[in-house]
Amino acid sequence: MKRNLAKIVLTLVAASLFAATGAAQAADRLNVVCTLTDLGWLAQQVGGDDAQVEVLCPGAYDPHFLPARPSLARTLGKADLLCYNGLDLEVGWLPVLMDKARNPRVRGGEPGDLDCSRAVDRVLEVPAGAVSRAEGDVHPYGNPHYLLDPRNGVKVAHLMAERMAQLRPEAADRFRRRADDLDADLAPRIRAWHDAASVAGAHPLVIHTKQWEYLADWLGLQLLDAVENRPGIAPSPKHVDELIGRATAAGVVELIAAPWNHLDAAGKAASRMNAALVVLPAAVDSQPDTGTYPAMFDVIAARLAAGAKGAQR
Amino acid sequence: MRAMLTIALALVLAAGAVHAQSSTVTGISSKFNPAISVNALLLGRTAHASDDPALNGFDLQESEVQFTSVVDPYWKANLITAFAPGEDGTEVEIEVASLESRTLPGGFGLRVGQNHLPFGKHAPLHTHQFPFVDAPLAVSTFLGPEGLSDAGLQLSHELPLPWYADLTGYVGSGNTDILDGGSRQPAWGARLSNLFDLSMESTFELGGSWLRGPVAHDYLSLDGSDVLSGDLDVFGADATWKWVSSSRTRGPAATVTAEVVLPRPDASSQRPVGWYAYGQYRIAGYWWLGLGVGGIDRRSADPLVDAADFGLFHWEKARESKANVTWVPSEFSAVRLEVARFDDRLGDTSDTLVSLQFNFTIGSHPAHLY
Repeated sequence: MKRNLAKIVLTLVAASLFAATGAAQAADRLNVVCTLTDLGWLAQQVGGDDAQVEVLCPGAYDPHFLPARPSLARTLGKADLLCYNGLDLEVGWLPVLMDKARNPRVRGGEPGDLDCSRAVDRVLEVPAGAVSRAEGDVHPYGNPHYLLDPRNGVKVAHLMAERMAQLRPEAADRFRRRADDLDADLAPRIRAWHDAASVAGAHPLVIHTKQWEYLADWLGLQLLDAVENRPGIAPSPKHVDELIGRATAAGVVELIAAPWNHLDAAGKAASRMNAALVVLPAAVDSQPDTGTYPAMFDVIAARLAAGAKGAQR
Repeated sequence: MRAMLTIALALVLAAGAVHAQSSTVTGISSKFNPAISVNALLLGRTAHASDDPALNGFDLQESEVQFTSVVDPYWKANLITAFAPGEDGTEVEIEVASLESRTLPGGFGLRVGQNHLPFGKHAPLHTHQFPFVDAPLAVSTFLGPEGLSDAGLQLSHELPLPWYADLTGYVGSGNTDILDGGSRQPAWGARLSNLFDLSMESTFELGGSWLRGPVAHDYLSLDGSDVLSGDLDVFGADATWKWVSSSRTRGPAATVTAEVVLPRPDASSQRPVGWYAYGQYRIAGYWWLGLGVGGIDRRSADPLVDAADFGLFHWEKARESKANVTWVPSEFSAVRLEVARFDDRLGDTSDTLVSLQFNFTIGSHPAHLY
C-alpha cells in the first residue's frame, strides 16, 4: 500500500516537472485566451508569432450559453492575457471558469484582464434608469454585440496591441505594427462591405433575436423589430401575429437570424411575412467559410446584398 | 461558530461600502454593495396515503438570500442564508459564509468558512438546483436532510494529468447533521473529480469522495435515539454524462447521473448502501423531462450483534422512483410537476406524492457550476 502511494506521488511530481518544463519552453510567447472566436482571430493577428491564442467558446455556440466545461478552466489557467467581450455577454459562464481556473494573472484589475468593450466608444442600447427582467434577459450595461461592426473590431485590435505591449514590452513594436497593418488591410474592405451590403437598407428588416443592432447602425439598415422581442423569452403568438402584420405592411423582405437561433420558427415567421430567411454568421467560424473575421463579413455582405437584390427582382 | 462567521462576513461585506462612500457629506454610498439575489421555492403537494400536513398542502419550501462580493485584492466573499418552515416556525440556516482566496499562487484554491462540503454530486447543490423536488433518499438519509455544510477550510488543486482532475481536501469542525460537532475531533475529507471531454458537446465525469469525522450519536438511528459513538467514514462514487447540443440556443441537452453513498460507522457492523440515478432531457427549448430512481439498504453484516448492541437498529430497505416535467420560461423561473413513489419494502408501506413546485430568482445571482 505504501509502495503504491509512493509511486502515485512520484508520478504526480514527475508529471508536474514535465508540465513545468513545457511551460518554460513556451514562456517567451504570450499565452492569450479569448472568450470568442472573433476576439481569437483579432488577437492572433496582433500577437503573431509572439502569442499563442486559444478560444473558449467555439463559433458554433451561442456565446450567451456556453456550457462551462471545467476543461476550459484548464485553458484559462494558462493565460497571461484574457480577452473577453464584456458588457455581460459571457456572464453565464466566464465567472464559473474564472473561479475554477484560479489564475491570479487574469483576475479583474490585473494587466492580464482585458475587457475588449472598453475599445468601443459608443455602446448601443444602454438602459436609461432601472432595468427590469420584465423586458427579458436584458444586458444592463448595453448591447454587447459590437463586434458585428468591423470598425469596432479594428479598435479592439489596437486595444489588444497596447495591452500585449504592456505585458511583453520587448515585442511592443511588433504588436503595434501588426495592429496598424490590420487596420490598413481592413479599411478598404470595410468600405467595400458597406457599399455591397447597404443596399439592404432600402427595406426594413425583421431580426429573429436582438443582436444585429451594431451591424444595422454601421450599414444604415432599418430594423423593424425582433421576433424574440424580449431576450431569452419565447415570443408570444400575439406579438408574432402583430409583427407579421406590421412587417407585411412595411414591405419587409428579409428576416435576419443567427445560426444558433430556432431556425424552424424563424423560417415560419419569414414565410408568413413573405420575406426571405437570411441566416448570417454571428461569429467567426459559426458557419462554413467564416473562419476569419474578414471572411465572416464577406459572407454577411454577400447574403444581405443577395437578399436585397432578390427583393428588387 | 456559525453565528460568529456570519457576523464577521457581514462586517467584511459592509466594510467595502463604508470605506468607499462616494458622498463625503452624507456618508451613504451604495457603490460597493455586494451582488444580492433571492431565490424561493414554493411547493404544493399531496400524498396518496399519508395525511402528514408536511406532505399535503402548499407552503414555502425554502428561500435563500445570497450576497457575493469581492472584498479586496485577496478575497471574494459569499454569504447564503436559507429560510425554511420548520416544526417550530421558520428555521434559519447559514449555508455558506466563506472567503475565497483570489491570489493564492500555484493554481491552488482556498476557501475558509462555512461551505458546502465537496462530497459527491448532489450534496453540494443548493435546493433550487435539485433535479427533483426532494433530495434522493441516499443523500437525505446518509448525508443529512440539509446536505453537508460545515465550517472549516477547503484546499483545491488541479492535478497534472492528461484530463481535468481536481482534488479538494478539507478539514472542518464536523458541525453537520451526520457528525458530532460538539466533539473536539475535526472532520476530514477529500474529493477527486475527473472530467473527460468526449466531444465539444459532451463530457463524462467520474468522482470519488470520502469523509471522516466523529459520528453524530443518532446517526442511522430510526427513532432519533443516541446509539453510536466513535468515528464515521462515508465513501462515495459518482458518474455523470452531460451533453449540450450546439445546434441552437436552448437546443437539446441531457444529463445522466448515478451516485452511490457508503457510510461506515466504526462502532457498527452495519454496511448501509445508498444510491440513486437520474436522467434529465431538454425536449423543446423551455421544457425539461426528468426520470429518477434510488434506494437505501441498511444491511447489517451481523444483525444479531447489532440488535444486541444497538437494539434500536432495524433493517431498512426503501426505494424511490420519480418523474417530472419542468417548464423553464426564462433563466429566472421554473414550474415543475412531479410524481414520486416511495416504497419501504420491509415496512410494507408505500406512498405516492404529487408535487407542483414554483422556483424563482431575483437579483444578481451568480452562474451555477457546470
